[in-house]
Amino acid sequence: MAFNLIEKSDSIEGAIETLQHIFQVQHVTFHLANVNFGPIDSPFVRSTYPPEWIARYLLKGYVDVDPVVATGFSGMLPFFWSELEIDERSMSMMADAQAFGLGADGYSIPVIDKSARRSLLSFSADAPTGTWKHYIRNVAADLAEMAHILHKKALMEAGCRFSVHLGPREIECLYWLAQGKDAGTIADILIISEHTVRSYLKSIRHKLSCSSLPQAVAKAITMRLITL
Amino acid sequence: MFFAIQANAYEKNTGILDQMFRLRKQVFFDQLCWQVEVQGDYERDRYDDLGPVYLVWADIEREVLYAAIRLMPTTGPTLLYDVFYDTLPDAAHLSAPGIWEATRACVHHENLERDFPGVSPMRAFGLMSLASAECAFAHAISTIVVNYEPYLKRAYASAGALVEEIGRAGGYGRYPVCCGLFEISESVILRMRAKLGLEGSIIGTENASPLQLTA
Repeated sequence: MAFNLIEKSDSIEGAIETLQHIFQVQHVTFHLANVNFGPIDSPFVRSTYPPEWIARYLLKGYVDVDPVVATGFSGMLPFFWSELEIDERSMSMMADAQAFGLGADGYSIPVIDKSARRSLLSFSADAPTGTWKHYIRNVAADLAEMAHILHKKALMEAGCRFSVHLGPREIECLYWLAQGKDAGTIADILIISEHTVRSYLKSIRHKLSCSSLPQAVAKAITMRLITL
Repeated sequence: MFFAIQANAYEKNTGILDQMFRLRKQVFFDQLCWQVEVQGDYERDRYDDLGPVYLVWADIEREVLYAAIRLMPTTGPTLLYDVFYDTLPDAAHLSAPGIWEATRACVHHENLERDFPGVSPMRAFGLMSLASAECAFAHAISTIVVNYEPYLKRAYASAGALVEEIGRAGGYGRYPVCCGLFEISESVILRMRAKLGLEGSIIGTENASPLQLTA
């Protein structure tokens, strides 16, 4: 359900507000790294943080000391803010954020695409770190998919177009999916494991930006990637 | 100990990373004769500039390297996509947030033999596979695309790893290159620990004593 709402929202602002409500986190921030093409040549940031905090953040130049930004745009694995090493310069920023009533812990997901364009989706929480971590671990795979959908959406807002290239096995899996077969049956037909089939299906959904497999089949037929 | 080095920690781990790039040159260029980019004593390519995760096995002081592997998300630029697009199309095309690729897995035979005489290179490879699985599982990754030489199939099997070969290609070096999908799940991790005779997690902790590793 979340996927559909995110995809249907007409802007990134709308999408992050939806995420904030569905996942019941304190705040959501989406940050596309500097990309020098088309109309975007300045940072693309959308956040549910109060405007006063965003203004202060920019005015104080916190983006240069924010450990979340530094880690998120250089690394590749998602991370909890509580795992970061905080140096003195970022200390004052963290204290300032807390004075604003903003959560101390959070979770960020770095995104990188085939053209090495990066973005970062962050969630902040006011729940105690223990409960928060437990909660996030259960939804981490979904959140990662959301981060990639937002990334593509933001680039499309900037006028980027994406082409889809499927591998031979992916096309075969799509074909059998369109014939109404489930992952287990496709595994039997192709004589591969169900986990491998699921990996192909995941890849297909990602490339076609689809939240469900029926949607992926419909899209693939429209795009003439498969014929029935 | 086994730990992951992310881009923000490269600087703190220059010693270990230096050893890793040298080891990669010895293994992939000198021994396996792959057509890899060599810069002096280093084997280093453009993916190393993108901030990949290096999973390493080193001593507690982080001075001696035993093994290393490189992990990258398949949503981004990947070696498999660029190098094996034509020869291993099924593996090369996979791309999704929960699917990562592991490349440049290598073991430092001399260091291993000196400090862990009871651990064979095959077992070291198995231990690294378990560490990769634990790291992946903790970050919501469900599949690792691995490339390996045919004889390492046995190392995966004896470590209890579930790896399904999805392609094989020749012409890259002394042996054909195999591509496989390594299933990551809690049950796979438990199975691997049992097979390797380990209790509890191997990564990030100092629990895995030399004795256990040798087991």
